[in-house]
Amino acid sequence: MTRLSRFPFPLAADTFTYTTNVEPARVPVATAAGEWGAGIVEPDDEYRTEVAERAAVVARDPSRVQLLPHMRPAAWDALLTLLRELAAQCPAHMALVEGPQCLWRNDLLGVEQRFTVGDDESLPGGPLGFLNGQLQEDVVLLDQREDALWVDAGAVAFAADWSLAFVTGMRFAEVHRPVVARVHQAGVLTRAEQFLLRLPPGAEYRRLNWTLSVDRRLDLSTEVREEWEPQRAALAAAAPAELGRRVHLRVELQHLIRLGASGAVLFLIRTHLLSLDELAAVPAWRRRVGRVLAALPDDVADYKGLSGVRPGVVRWCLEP
Amino acid sequence: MAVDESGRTFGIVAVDAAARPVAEAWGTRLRELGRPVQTWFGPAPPLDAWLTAARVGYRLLLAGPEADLLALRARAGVLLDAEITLYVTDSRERVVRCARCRTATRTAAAVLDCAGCGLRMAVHDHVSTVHGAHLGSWSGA
Amino acid sequence: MTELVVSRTADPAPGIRELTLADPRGGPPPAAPPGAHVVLTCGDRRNAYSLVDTDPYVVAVRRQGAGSSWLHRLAPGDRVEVSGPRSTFAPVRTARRHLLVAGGIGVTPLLSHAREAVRWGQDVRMVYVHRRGAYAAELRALLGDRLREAGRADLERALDLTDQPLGTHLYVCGPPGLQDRVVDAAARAGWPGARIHRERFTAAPEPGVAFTARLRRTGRDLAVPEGTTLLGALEAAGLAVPSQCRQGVCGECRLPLLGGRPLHRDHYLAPEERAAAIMPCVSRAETLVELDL
Repeated sequence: MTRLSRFPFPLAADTFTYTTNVEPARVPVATAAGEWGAGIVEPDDEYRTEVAERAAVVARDPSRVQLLPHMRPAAWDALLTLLRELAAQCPAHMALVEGPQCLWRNDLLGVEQRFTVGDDESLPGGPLGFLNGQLQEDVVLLDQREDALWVDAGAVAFAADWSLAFVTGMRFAEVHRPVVARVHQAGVLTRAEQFLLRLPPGAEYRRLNWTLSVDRRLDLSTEVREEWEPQRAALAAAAPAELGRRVHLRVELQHLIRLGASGAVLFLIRTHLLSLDELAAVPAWRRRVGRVLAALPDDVADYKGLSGVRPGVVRWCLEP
Repeated sequence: MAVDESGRTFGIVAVDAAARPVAEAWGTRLRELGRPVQTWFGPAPPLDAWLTAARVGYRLLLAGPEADLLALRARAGVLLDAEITLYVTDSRERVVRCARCRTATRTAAAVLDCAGCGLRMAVHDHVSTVHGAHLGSWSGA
Repeated sequence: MTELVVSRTADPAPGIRELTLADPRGGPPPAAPPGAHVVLTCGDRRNAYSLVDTDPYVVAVRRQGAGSSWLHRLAPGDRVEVSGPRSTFAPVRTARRHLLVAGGIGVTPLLSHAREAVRWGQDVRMVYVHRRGAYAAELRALLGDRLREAGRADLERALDLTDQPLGTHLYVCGPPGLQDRVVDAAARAGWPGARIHRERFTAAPEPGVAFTARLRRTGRDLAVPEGTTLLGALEAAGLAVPSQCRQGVCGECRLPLLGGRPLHRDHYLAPEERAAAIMPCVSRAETLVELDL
């Protein structure tokens, strides 16, 4: 699988509207370039690079891992669920032996770690800090109470302009307040929360989200906005060759899973990046991106942070 | 603003002078009902002591500037929204939490320099009741 | 629905049969949080039972009707249809104290609450009102002096709702009369509704009753049996209806409605849209719906 062949191309039509676009997980999707989506977590050729980057981000800024005390059962549940998932996905390289003392082996990273479920001291970084260094995905854990969902824990190294440290402890609805008005008017977020509130134990769904970003930088969190936002703004005036090389379609494959044992909702975000140059290998994708961007309402383009770079990218995609 | 009469015992805080009339009206009504009430006038109530001693059935009634009420709400995390009444007397100033260094700065401006790290920040709509603050993040302006 | 096999039966108290249900292929059944229940198919009935334990599943059945009598006749090796777990009575994880009030066989979901609280070192207290005392010995060993046992008459003596630390959540499961007594007392003591949680033993996803879908354009009448969704019946009849979540949320399977008496169960359609549209993945009808298909 190459970056292109496993890319979850998110645009199903020439215009884009916000919908509660959830569908069952683990259903493979054939694309013009290959296939994606057979599993929940799918370590690929960028596994080592990305987990190393995740660990480096958290080492620089430990606030990227958050765990309110009442979320410890959920954090351990998430750890076991995802290590099992990794082991099932990569049986040749990873294994989890469960018991009074568990043993996690990950040959891709040269890791062999014993731990005791529920004992935060038994894992370096605690359950979520450790998980952060084993997964390509960002992890967010939602607690359910008072008929609402609360963002109460997570390990998020690759946020796209949000801050886990700030939103920890907030309601799902409060976290999404800055989302553009048209999304609220369509009732998309209310329906999304209702859907999540009713997810039965073990249910697994997924959705895609997308934007454009610059280079292969994954960490676009609000904490370091001054490091990445000026670059995106500067690209508004870039020449076509530079745009093709540096502008990336950034797709978040999000999984929404109701953890059985703890009852928490696990929100997993895998970020895929594909440059315009790479994307152009599929001419239909190149045209689709151009048409969608051209038709995107200004408020949505602003919300996604695309207003500056949009005209250049539309020309790049649609002009021969 | 009507008082929540479903509680059994009550704490009332009036942060500033503008909050005093509404707090006094709350207290008068609750004493008519024969409910135990503790009251504090000023910005620094002994909230931790109150909440440690209180039992379920307690209600907290807070009146004052929005920035103060958010800070008090953040300290009363043990209470549900249903157990707290907020009466805002003034919302000109906000407490802004810097995304980079997490310092809180109180301001009436939409763009400001962080009191901790000096970052030029824009204030966002995002409000955290845990931090009792709005989000501030880097602004090129 | 999956088929589980009875691996063990026991009688924890007179009139109460405990069934241990294991996956015949080995391995644990789907994980479930404390307070969850499953729906068992007992002959021609479907009854909801709280999970006393989750790996393997353990349910405790009090004999009180046709469905429970059917379950009492099961022996090790028998198979039984079990729904996926449903969670409507989960612990509030932020609680500073979990105050559990059980009446009779209503102890079953609260036993799993008590175990979870002890496992994670949380403050837990239990008042158990009983005559026969199913699981009383296990609770005494688990909770020590954090457990109070009482008869119906002295519940109020055992349960002081005016002296619980701030942040306590109250969970009640048992006969309706006992639940009402506890909930009323809590409200009088000033407890907000969001701190009071009751298990009503209601069955989860209702299979609904059979009805007819009249397809006006093709002039067909399609029978939708109990337990089959309208969407499923349409698909089985060879009609391609685009769908995504199949939970009444995403809006993808929306169909134009021409008449009949629909039972809307979705979270998608606005009230004003419900006269002219239906979400066939979850919605049904009393007897008939007419569709523009």
